[in-house]
Amino acid sequence: MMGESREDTDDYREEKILSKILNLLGFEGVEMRDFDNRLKYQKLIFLVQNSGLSLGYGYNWYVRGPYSPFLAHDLFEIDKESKIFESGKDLALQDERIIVEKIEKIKELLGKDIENPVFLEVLASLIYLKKSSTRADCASLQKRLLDLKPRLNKAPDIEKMLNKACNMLPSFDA
Amino acid sequence: MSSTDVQELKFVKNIFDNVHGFIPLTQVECDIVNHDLFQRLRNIKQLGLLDYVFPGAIHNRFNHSLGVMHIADKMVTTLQEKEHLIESSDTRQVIRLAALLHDIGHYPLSHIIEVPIRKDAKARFQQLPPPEGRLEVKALGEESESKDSGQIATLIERSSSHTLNYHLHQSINESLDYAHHERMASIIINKSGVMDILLDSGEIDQERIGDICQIISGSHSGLETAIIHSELDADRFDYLLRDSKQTGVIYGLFDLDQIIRHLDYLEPTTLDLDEGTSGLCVGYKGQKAVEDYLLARYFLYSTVIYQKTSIGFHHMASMVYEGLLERGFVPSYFDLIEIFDTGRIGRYMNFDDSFFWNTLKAVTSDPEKIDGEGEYQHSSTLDKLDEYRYSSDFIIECSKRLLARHPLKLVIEEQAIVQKGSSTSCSSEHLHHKAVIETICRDADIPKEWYIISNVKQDITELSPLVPLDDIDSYMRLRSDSIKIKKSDSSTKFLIRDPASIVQFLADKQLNIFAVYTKDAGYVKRILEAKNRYQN
Repeated sequence: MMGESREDTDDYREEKILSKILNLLGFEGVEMRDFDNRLKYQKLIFLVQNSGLSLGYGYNWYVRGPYSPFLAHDLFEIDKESKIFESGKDLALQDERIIVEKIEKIKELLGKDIENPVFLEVLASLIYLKKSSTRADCASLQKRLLDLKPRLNKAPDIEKMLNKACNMLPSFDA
Repeated sequence: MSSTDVQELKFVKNIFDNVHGFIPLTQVECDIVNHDLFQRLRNIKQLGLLDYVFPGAIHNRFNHSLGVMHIADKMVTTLQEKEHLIESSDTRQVIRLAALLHDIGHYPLSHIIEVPIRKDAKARFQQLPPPEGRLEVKALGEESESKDSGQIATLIERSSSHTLNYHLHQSINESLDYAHHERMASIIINKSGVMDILLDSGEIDQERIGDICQIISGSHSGLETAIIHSELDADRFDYLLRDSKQTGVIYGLFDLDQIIRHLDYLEPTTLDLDEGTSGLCVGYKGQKAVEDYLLARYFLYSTVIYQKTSIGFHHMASMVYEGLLERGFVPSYFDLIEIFDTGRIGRYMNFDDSFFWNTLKAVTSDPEKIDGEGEYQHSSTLDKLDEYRYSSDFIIECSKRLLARHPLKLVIEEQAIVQKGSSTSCSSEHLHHKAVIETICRDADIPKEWYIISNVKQDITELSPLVPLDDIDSYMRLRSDSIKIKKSDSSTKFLIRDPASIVQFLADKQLNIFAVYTKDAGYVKRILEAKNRYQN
């Protein structure tokens, strides 16, 4: 549609800030050829935003849960131009101490599951469903998720994952 | 195939439509159609100002909404025959209502007025401090002081309409695109008699009203959304057929029945990360119809929607609204939410195409009025700008031209089909660069506002411009959105990866239409001379 394109206000401003956040999350670059990576970036940034940090990415529901086309766009830009990530990770942020604290809290909360794309999908999806539903109790959310994604029933330890994710929901209430 | 899974509805009335024939309606749909806010859509033309070029294009959002409901119903019943979308007993009715109401939030002249309102609202939200408990991530040194005088912040804090908009679509709030017409629909549905009609029907409860609003905005989690928001959605199906029929340009016609007949859905059944194995798809017998549909869309856009004279009118109307908006002369998003907060629905009823034309008549009949105090309280005049983007003379001149159907003059137009993501879209691209525009306007001695640039793009499929076709596996959105074909052995394949599909060869290309418009032949001459001097 005419006149609806995203306006660039600065050279790669969003991509540099995104690189900084990804770096704080523990990434040393962006590698988009790998599906697991793409899924992890999408869901982790969703979690970061829901912890109270605004990066400006709106999310919709796709096959794998919350997904932001604009985030995908910026990630591909970073992947294409590796120097963006390099300059981004050195970027100084306003209120950096608070931002670092929040991200460290997310990392601590997720533990090893920060590397588990299925868990990240489950957690991000539950948060999305909670925010878009009037029935926000855990049992309803879990049922809704499994109705939408019946394949998750086959995931090893799905029950454990669902419960763990449910317990984490209050941390992503911002 | 079984018809026993199709949810039964009781139809009480038929409306004859020039595209689809008789469209049956249930009682609740009848009541909605008869509501003033739905009738308002009769006075919002589907194609804005396109009737200035194609006189037959006088159809409106009312016709279109009925058509989308009719097509969405065909899609739902086809899927239900194949035992999909049957989890809730009211799915068919819910999707029909979402389709019927999907455009109820449209602004005058459809997308023409929507663009400046959304741009203005987004800019103002960007100036506000983030909501409590949230922190906007910014680089050190970036401006962080709130520029808002406080009145907008107070208004949105107190606004029940904005609060509803905010809470209903939380997943998409980060984009700050609160004024999108699909989000306005939520406000209209929930803050008017439409809500009472839905609840009084006894068929829809408050939670399902929320679902309807989320299906419309695209934030709902479920297959229902794909019926309204995907590359194969009822909205596109209807507007292509309708626009084609009304304009008389036959390029938009395609075989809808064949596509719908072969519509199917594949549940994701494994943990396999390949998203190509699930989602909305079309059986292989419908593949050629889908390819024809994508080509029809491309040709209709490139010949009708992006017709050069029409684009000139479109820009004038959009600039006039933007100029009037910054002077507080026409409503912004903030004015509209206040209308719904205070229940003055009648005032919103008048916000249609006639409102736009009457406003133009008012400013042209009394040009002094334009710089007087605007009548809308929450317009940009609260934070008086040092300099308006468009001068009063420019707004008045454009208004007169719009009223008299006096088109802009084309200085240059270039069309080229290029590889998506290529760095240069056409040889005249530099004429859009800010520094070049300033140099040419200074040399030609014309006001910058009369150097009007336009750059539209049209592709066959919505493929990321960043990803070349051979790297398609790496593009997640494409994989979940792109059209899938179910083969005879029940495996699926992306249409754009099928070597037998014409779309495969065209998917990584896009048509760029680049243009510069101005006021009259004298300005054209001066711009071209300045351009030649600049290039030499």
